[in-house]
Amino acid sequence: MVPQSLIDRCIRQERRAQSELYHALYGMLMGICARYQHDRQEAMALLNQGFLKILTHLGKRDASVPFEPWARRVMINTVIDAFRKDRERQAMEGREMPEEPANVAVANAYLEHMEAEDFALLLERVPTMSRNVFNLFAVDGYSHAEIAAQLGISEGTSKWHVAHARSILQKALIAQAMRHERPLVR
Amino acid sequence: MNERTPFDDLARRKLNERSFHVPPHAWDAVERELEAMDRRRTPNPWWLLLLLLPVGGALWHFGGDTTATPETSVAKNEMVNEGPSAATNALAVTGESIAAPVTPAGERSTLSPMVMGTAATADAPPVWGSDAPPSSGAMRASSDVTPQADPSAPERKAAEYPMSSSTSADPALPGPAITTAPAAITTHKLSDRSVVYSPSNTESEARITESGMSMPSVADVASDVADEDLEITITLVGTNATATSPADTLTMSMAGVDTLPITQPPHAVPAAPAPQDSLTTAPVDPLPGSAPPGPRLILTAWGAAFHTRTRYTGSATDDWATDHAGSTTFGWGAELMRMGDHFGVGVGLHLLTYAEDMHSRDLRRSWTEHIFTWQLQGVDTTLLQVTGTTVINGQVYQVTQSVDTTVLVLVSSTGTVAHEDVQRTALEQRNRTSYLEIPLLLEARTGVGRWEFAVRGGPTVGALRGRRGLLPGSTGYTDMHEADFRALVLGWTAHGVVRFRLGERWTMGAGPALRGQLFNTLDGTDLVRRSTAWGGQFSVGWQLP
Repeated sequence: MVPQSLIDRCIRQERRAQSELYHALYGMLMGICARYQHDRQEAMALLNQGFLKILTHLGKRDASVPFEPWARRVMINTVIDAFRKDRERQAMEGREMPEEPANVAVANAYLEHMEAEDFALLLERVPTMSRNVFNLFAVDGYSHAEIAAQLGISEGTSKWHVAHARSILQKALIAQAMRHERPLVR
Repeated sequence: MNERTPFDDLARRKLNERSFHVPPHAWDAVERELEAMDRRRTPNPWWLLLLLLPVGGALWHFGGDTTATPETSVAKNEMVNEGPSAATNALAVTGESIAAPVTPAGERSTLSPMVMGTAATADAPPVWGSDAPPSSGAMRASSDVTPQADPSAPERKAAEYPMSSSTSADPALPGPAITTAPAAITTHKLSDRSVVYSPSNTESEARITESGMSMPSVADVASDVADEDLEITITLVGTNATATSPADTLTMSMAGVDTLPITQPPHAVPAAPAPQDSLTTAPVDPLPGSAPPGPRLILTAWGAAFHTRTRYTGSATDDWATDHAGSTTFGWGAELMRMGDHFGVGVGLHLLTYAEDMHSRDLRRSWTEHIFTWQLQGVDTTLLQVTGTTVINGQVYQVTQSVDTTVLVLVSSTGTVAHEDVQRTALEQRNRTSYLEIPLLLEARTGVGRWEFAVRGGPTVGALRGRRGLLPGSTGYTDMHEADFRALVLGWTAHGVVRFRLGERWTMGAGPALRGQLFNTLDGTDLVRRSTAWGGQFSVGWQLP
């Protein structure tokens, strides 16, 4: 929880307070950036870009909006803006929805006991567009309509990417679970 | 597929479990970018100048009338009749102010006796129009007391005839009552001629205001007065000796615009004849080299030598160990003033440097270190060594011998070591900071002949242009380029000047000058830095055409 006094000092352009805020938000912001950009240097550049936006717009923030969700939103928008610039648009309309694996429960059980970093590595296997849409939908809570508007795609395409990413992840999790012979169900 | 599934929730939870640690130097990149943004946000002093110019212009525009001279006001108060008999019926009304008191009862249709006056003096008494009879179709003024009125001069500068006037509707009033009531004369210029009218009040007041802005139509004027048979009584009183005589009373009977007869009441006593026709008096040439009247723009360039001094205060000076002495610098600038007779307002552009000679003593840190040492110390001693036994008379005795040996004894000792670190070396350094200042200037002045005495000053906004030097600290020195200086600093400037007028447009002057900074020039530190300067200034002024 970032104290309001620190935010006020940042609005007054106090450099030390800005540094403190950077360190306080680093974990949350990097968590977002790393999900969208697996290259750590690129993720760091995105983070800095988003943090500067946060500082720049701090004074204009509606005080009734909690700070952390607002900062999170600014960061996600920064990521999306960057993604928009160099993404490869692929029309996915008309494609059939990927089928969900039969043993989803196995994947869920394995995921629950999985290390977070391992799952992040697994997520990097998902194609960029599908990964980003999945991140927006499943992790950051955007609706398909919002994603479609943000990325300039149709809602159907957004749904396809989510299903595609989900399918890849579940299959990979099931494969790992079989390999490690971990207990499949709790 | 369209809704969030338990898998999505698990994925979100898992991804949010990740933790990231700030790598070293991660903040450095952000800080560099923030500093670059700060530099970009620093206002450009030239833009500031552009912002100030309209402000100064507005001040000139709205403040200009307050500096208008009586002469300029009077100069417009002119009434000239139109029509074929205009030449002989010219009526010039001059006056700085006109009051319109209530007309005494008993005077028929008299609107008001108007009091007219000017602050200036004149040798010539006020003179009115001509004695030609009024003719239809023309506004006419007649007066028996001014037979010298020059009918061939329909337009004359009333400024040349400063007058005082008073209300004297009652001829029994002893002498003029000079008033300086606000001007209420309206002079509407039409082409090169002017018409004075007084339509405002039919009962007790005749207002004549000066504007020169627009000309109401003759029909408008006529509508004001046509329905009433108005008569305006204007009483004129001279300001010189002749003014003590009963006033000339001019009555304008306004039965309509077309006819404006002016008569002299029977009780009026003619004033002493004017030595010359005051209406035709030629403009008085100003003194050679004296300032022409009225608002004018004056451009001044100046150069100055200043003795500048900088004061450092704040908690950061606790370990200061530094003396600062003033230093001599130079500055120059240009100022544009809109000047009235005694007051003016304007803006300028000043470039100057504050400097100080800094003498910093070295700072040393001394401390004492106590050292405890343990050592083996050799002690020479003699030991009695048993070498054997012997039996004497059945008694056993031990045989001994003395052995000289050295025994090592462990001893402790305490040592004291004095340390001294030089944290800061002594330094003599000259610090300089340069500012481009934009002042908002006010001036008050007076003059005698070719000489003028003025005081000019006002607030300034200074934009930091350059800095050079070192700021002492408790552990060393900080380059002034690395110190956080404010980009803009509010200050003040003032100087007195004695000017000599070289001609109609040129002046040169000299005088003392003072200036200073009102607030801390440093930002974000416990060090407060303010500079002041005093010195002498030489200036050259040029009045714009």
